[in-house]
Amino acid sequence: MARNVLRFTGVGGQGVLLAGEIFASAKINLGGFGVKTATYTSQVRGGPTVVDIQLDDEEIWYPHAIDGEVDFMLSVADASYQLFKNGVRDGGTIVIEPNLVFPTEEDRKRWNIVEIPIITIAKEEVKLVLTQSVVALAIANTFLKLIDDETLKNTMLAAVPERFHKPNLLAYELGQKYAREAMAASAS
Amino acid sequence: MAGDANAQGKINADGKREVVMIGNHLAALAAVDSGCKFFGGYPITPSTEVMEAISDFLPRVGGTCIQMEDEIAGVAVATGAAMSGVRSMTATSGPGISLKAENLGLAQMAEVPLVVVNVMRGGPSTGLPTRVAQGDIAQAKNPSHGDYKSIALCAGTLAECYTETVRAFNLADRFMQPVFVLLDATLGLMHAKAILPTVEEVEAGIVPRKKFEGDPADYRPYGVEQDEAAVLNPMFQGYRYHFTGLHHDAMGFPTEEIETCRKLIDRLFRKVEEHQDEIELNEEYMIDDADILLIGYGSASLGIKEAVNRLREEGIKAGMFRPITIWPSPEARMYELGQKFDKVLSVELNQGQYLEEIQRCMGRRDIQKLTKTNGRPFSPADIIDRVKEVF
Repeated sequence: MARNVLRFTGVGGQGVLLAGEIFASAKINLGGFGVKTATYTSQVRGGPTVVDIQLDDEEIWYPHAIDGEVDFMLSVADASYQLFKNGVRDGGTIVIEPNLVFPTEEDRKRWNIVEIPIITIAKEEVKLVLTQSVVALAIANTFLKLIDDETLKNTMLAAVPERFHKPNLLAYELGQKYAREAMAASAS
Repeated sequence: MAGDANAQGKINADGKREVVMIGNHLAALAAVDSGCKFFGGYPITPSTEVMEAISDFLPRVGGTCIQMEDEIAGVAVATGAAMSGVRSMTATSGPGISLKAENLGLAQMAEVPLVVVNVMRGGPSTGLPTRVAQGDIAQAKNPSHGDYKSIALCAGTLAECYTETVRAFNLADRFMQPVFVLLDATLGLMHAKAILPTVEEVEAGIVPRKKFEGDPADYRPYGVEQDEAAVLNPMFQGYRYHFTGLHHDAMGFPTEEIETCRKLIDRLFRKVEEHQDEIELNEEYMIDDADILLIGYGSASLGIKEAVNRLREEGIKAGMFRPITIWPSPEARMYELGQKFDKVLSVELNQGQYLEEIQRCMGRRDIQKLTKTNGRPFSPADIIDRVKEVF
């Protein structure tokens, strides 16, 4: 496979760091190479956070995503969306939480912007806001089909305490469902 | 963590361990696998995860991790633990090294083996806490006042966060002095696969610290050959000596005797200089047929490698020389490379702290440079653009 470059952005404390680690670990579990790097500001909780994830069958040297080469970005906070959106290649996909992220009209022409209410799903359907990172994980993988879902789910479950397995599995399923609906809507 | 399956990793077809971790956790794992039994420190971004992990690892192997009231106390207890005979470590970032400097000087002077991990961030002062830099290269050479010969190892890959920490423990015991392991915010916090030696291989490489086992009346801890390190037996086990930061004689007692003072400082240098072959380690990447030599270290070398690969795809033959042992510098090898290559570019995340050393070793002033001090890493494009600009 060619290298896939993903970027998750939010504000500190939302769990985007963990989502990135799970992606990289799952790829490695399959025998490939995955690297996650995070950048955050001094105000870890509440500050803009970006996680870059690169997945490849070949060894990856430079660990950060190169601006202009990001295929897919997911954003749940406007401050970090505005800061990091320009790393996405023209025509790339950006999934946003529409209640919190506000792209311009130019942005919508430049990128394939998909609106999925990630935090609302976690808060109201899973009833556990912490699971938003797993909703995001499932959305990204459904769009990109990078890793088989069983491997990704198992890697995710290994990273969360057992008592949270059930809500996180629900979060994953809902992420898949909403992503499929969004993909069908944009295809029609 | 140490107790879970991930820390043990899985053994691959080559008999090596594969683990998925961040660099800071790998440094902690390496310490425990190397037989470290004590960690004293104070949390500071971006090194905190070293302490986080080792606070979990050490109690499982009968060791102790203590969070002290500040950086100074952190290195002080780690030094004390080392004097009791155990392998001991502290970890911090540049501002912490500044605070620890006085005690690091004491450990140099009194010859206490200690591993000091510095996960570099932007400076000076509190600088850019969450951002990457390589601004502590000069500091690692001389963190404290006075004359001594530092040993500083600089990891350039995730695996080296582990292997260089292992090497630091062995060198600390061999040369009886603090040994720096330099990581940085990129390496310390990046999460990926690292291929490591097995615990058995690490244990097989451990040479126990020298110990005097004769009549305690004959014990002279600092009365050693001029190119050798002091032999400090563990404190409170029947072998008495005086411990001081003052110039001292063979028993450690303060002295101003002219020849003793000269010989002491001379020995602090010669014990390292005359055994550089045991310390030096470099990586050479695609330099055999190269026309352009890039020199870099630490996480900057990850961008350099990617740049070398991309330049070669365009038909530009570049190669990379990477000192892993930063101090003492690979003087002889850099001189040879300076003779071989006309086009040399130094790449570092500071204003050129190692450039001066490269110039000195190569005996040339015409080394090109690429530097950055805004807390951002070099992208391969930065390096490629600079190569095309200057050559």
